Amino acid sequence: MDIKEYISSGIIEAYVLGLATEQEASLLACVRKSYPEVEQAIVEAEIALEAMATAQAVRPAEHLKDDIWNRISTGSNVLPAQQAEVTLEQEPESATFRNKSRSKLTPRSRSLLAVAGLLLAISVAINIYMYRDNRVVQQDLLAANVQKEQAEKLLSSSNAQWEIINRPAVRSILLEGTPGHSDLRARVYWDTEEKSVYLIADQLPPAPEGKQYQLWAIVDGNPVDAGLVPLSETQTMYTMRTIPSAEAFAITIEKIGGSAVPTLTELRVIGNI
Amino acid sequence: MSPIQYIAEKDLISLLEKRDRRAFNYLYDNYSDALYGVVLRIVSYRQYADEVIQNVFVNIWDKMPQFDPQKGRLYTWMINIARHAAIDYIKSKTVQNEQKNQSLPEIVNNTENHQFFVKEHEKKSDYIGIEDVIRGLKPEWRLLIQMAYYEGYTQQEIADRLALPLGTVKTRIRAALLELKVILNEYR
Repeated sequence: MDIKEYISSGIIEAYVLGLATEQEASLLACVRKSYPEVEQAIVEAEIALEAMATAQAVRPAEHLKDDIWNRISTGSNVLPAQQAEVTLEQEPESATFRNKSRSKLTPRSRSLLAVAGLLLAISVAINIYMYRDNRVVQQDLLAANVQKEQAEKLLSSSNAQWEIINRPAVRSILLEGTPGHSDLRARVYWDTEEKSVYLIADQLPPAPEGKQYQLWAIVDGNPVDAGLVPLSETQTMYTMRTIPSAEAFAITIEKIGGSAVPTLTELRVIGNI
Repeated sequence: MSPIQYIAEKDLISLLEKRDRRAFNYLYDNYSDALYGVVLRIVSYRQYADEVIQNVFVNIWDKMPQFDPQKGRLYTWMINIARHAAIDYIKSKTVQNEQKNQSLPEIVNNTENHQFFVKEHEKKSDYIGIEDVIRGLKPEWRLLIQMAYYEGYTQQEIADRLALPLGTVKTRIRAALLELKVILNEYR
């Protein structure tokens, strides 16, 4: 790829303006890592837009700051103004409904009685139907409860992951596919205080028969075993070995049980810290 | 106007992760003027901008865990959230107006109309009393920035609407931003 041509094609400006397609953006994400001149061009375009926003700044009304904080801290996401609009729109409808029902209140009492009788019959029929339906509903309820328990379990494991990811000392390292495996991804969360390492590898395909993924930390240029990726996928985030310091993390494919040194030809993803 | 105080993005992000009022204050004090300026230029009226800027900060707050410094700078990321919120708001307002008034003429479809819109926009800017840096650009470049930055058209959509080759649109937007950089340097 002619990198000068690539920069002057306008792709960087499209990316910074949020107009690039997904494919364009992911290509750019790779290219910017290998070509400092692309990285620089992106940052320059960003700074130009930021300078434009700074130059054109307008001070909002004083009360907005507290209004916004109130919304954020109470977690309410609906503006009072929007609610008001909705009720306004609903008003005319209910008014016409009232008019209609009033105009219907004119038939004679005999036909009213007939209608009442019909309604009673319908009501009895519905009761019988619902009584028979009750058993089905209870089964559905049971199924729903099971689903709810599963969802809660998922939520609590997600919350645990969330807690780890949000620790201030935790660094997130994206491991990206090596040439020939460019669609592979994995992410390492490394707690720089507790030195614990967590791995999300849900974007790696199942390891080939008889093989297993192994995570390595690169320490002073040497690979250090950071643990094996479990063969069965029961969780999305794995706790790996404790690593006190590292420059990079990488994943290779090794024989089941792992190797003492990585097979570099089987390198799949790597990410610098 | 209000200069942005630069602190390391890393520090700001870790501040925001604590999600307390001080973090919000920092974010608001440093970026609200710039983001409000972005929003106001798109929605044209303070009454609308007041509504949109609230959504912008709520969005920033909610989306903060998704922010990836490898994909771009924090300030740019917030500007784009503000732009999208404002553009979406204007689109929904336009839809509401069309529903209310079916006879509204078909607009925003060719160069002439767009140039008309740029002029209208300038009039509104005068009305609101805000400065418009892109006025220093050549008209055909200004139009492209207007469409891409303030109206949210993709480059392909711009090419279709202005009947220009896609390549021309891309290189012109690039040229426009480079020129903008020069203008902004003089501005400081």
